[in-house]
Amino acid sequence: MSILLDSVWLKENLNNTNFIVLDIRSPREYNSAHIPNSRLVPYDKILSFNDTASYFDVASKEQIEELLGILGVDINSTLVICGDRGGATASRLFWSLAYYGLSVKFLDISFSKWTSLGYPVTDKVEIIDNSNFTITQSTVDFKVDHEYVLSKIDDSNSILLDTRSPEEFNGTIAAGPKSGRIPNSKNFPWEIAVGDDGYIFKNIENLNTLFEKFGITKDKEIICYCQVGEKASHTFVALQICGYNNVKIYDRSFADWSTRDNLPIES
Amino acid sequence: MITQQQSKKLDLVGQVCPWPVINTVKELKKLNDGDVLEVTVDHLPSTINIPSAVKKDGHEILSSEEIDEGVFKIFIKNNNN
Repeated sequence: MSILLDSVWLKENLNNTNFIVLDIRSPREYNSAHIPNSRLVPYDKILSFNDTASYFDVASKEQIEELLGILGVDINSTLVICGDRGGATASRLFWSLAYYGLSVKFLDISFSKWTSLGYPVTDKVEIIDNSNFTITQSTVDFKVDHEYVLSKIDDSNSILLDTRSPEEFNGTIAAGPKSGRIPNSKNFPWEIAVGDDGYIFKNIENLNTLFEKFGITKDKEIICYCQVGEKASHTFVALQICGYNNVKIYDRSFADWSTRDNLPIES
Repeated sequence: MITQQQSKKLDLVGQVCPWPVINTVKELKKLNDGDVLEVTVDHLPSTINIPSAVKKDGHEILSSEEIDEGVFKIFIKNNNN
């Protein structure tokens, strides 16, 4: 079953209550215009963090249950992620929900593209009846920590995929207190998997060609990371689209790795 | 020589990682000691990334607050020693 949801199909099925569109754009953007019946997901509700931490954790099971309950999601609903700005933040939402074993799809185009096509939008915010949402599934093996990554640095059966820009990978710029990368990482800048003309991902043929070109094969375990786990999520979804079934995210990513004194950094 | 302290605004709304951090660091390098940089972002990770990145250079975070739904202002006191 495809991860991507065809926007043409969604346009024709906006009243299908089995599908709930979750919009992860900013509140200002959502309030200005959104897909009818879609629900705004405040970004801070899918993360767990405190003022002193340099990284984000995935929200707890209880946080996700509370969020989806407030959004009136039924346990049988299929969730459809809608985003913009390349889809990295939306991918983080996708990964977070998939991690908790929920049925989730990705709208194939950005919200900007949706509007440019003249598809229905509204600024009306519907009043939603809360639901009592309980996650019954176990978490999926999609998440690893720094100790796990450290154990895989010299493992030929694993590929550490740094999805940041080449400049961040090479250490010429840094989005945190330290520059560099996790040793033995391979650079796969996430944006090369973004599709043309408002599509969140390249088509599957082009994605497969891309991964093949980078030597990313299905027989390996793939561990994606970036600075805070957003861009890595985009690559994670792209790999899932192509049928890679052993993909994980180091969700605290380099923001965590680079602030631990005892961990090696290469540049 | 005493340099008069100034305040500069940097609007980074719409930018995503890593650009809010990169552009903030770049802007701080142009300022004098004691100047205050007011950064506006609407990308939540930037509220953690920016303080984390600039504090290691000795700059001081004066405040960081949500001024509107999903929009944050970070005030940074420059310290380019």
